[in-house]
Amino acid sequence: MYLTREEERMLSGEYSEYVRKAMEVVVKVGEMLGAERLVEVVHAHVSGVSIFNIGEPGLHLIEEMASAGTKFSVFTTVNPYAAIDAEFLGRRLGEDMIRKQMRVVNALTRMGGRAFTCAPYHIRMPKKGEHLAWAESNAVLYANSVAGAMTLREGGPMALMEAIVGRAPMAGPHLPENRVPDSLVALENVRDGASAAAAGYIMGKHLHSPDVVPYVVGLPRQEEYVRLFLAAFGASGSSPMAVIEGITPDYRELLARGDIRDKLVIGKDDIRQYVEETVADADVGLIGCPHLSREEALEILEELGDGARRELWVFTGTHVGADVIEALRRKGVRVLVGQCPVVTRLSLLGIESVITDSGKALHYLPKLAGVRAHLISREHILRWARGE
Amino acid sequence: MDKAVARLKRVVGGRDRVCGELVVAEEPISFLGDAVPEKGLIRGLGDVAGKIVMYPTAIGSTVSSYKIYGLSYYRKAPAAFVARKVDPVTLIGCVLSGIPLYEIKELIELPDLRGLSGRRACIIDDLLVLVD
Repeated sequence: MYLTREEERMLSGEYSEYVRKAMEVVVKVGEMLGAERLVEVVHAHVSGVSIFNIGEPGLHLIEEMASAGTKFSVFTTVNPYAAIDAEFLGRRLGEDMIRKQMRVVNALTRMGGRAFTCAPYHIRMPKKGEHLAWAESNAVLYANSVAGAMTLREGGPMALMEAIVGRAPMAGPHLPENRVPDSLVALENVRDGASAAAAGYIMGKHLHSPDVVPYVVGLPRQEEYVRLFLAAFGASGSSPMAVIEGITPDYRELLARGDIRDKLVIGKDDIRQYVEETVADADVGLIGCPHLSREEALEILEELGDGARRELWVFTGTHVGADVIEALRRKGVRVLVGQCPVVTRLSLLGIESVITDSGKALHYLPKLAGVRAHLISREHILRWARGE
Repeated sequence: MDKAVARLKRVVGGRDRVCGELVVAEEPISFLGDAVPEKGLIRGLGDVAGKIVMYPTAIGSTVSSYKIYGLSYYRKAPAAFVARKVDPVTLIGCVLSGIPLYEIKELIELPDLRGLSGRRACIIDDLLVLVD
């Protein structure tokens, strides 16, 4: 692989032992991906923060790096941590778990990580054509498919190494030839966030190869629907990008350059298999996977009327503003800031069943949180929360 | 008699010979959610420690790399992963943990790998060979 003089200096250990190690990993992975060189990135996003997900191995890896004085060399945001502020019928997570979680948070903060959100595009919207080193599948899909930026779908620890050296392998979606569609997906009857989420989830089930790039028609332009669609596609698939008609920058040119080999239609009956119409049973309503934008949080505030009469949890970052967080809390909503209940063992709090409008949450909640999950529209969740 | 069943490309790992019992997954693996590193388990596949795990591809979370790393941290690592399609998330997990990772280039005389679970195999250079 071709390395610049500065990259060679990093690799030779001229900066520090940790920069050398990080560079060694980035170069090694790059060579395996067939990259001919590295590319400088302007923003790294690190996944793998919840102690429930990374466990002792991840905690040790991250703490070891931080204790060596390692610093991120580019603007770096990080994923949310487990929901340490969550409480259900007086039960909270154990002190030991909370302490370990905060050790991860503190180590990442010491290295220069910020934001604690799975929606880094709310913190700094990537520009078209910009090179990024992002992990977190929903964020990667948003960056490539909506912002027109360029990033591989990095694993959590790879993004950590890339944040240190400020470089990523020039491979995958960093190269224009890997951004053209190879299959057509027609969506029918997507009319709200939950049906968009179901459609994304179904698309990933069918098209799960890491190099597939679907061309999507029939997705409404509402930002919220697009984010829920992509997040669900990220959970059931492994692709870093979709070209969405009317949304992805230069979608016409990308389609013209593409070679469509497969076609998939996702219709009303497919979607109905995932989205429920009525709330059967639920201990908690969950909204915020991916983390809410300020606009979405304001809409929820508006829709709540007199306030929540049932257990409604929304999750987001500080980007929604202290005023909105405070107003939601006054309405009886539990606002989890910088946190994510989907990556938290909710069964430890005695929760058995939840409702959500996120297909990604639907996929992970039974496995990671140990609860039953039902996919239903945000409108229904809010109606349920109001006590109707 | 030894029988070669697939030609592989070595992606991670430096050893010339890797042997173990085969575990073949029909569906893509979601390491986050399905892997239990401290027990050396992948839900749906069972115990994978010391075995050769074959699967179509990995899906889902970018946090999966930590689950793969965890398998080796707890000394429950598979002998090797053999994927139809290697993805970057699994790749970094294998680089950090040192678990050998291969990609299937070609199947030899065997259209269906499913019946191979439980057989003993070795990866010798770029060939997957049944040895039982």
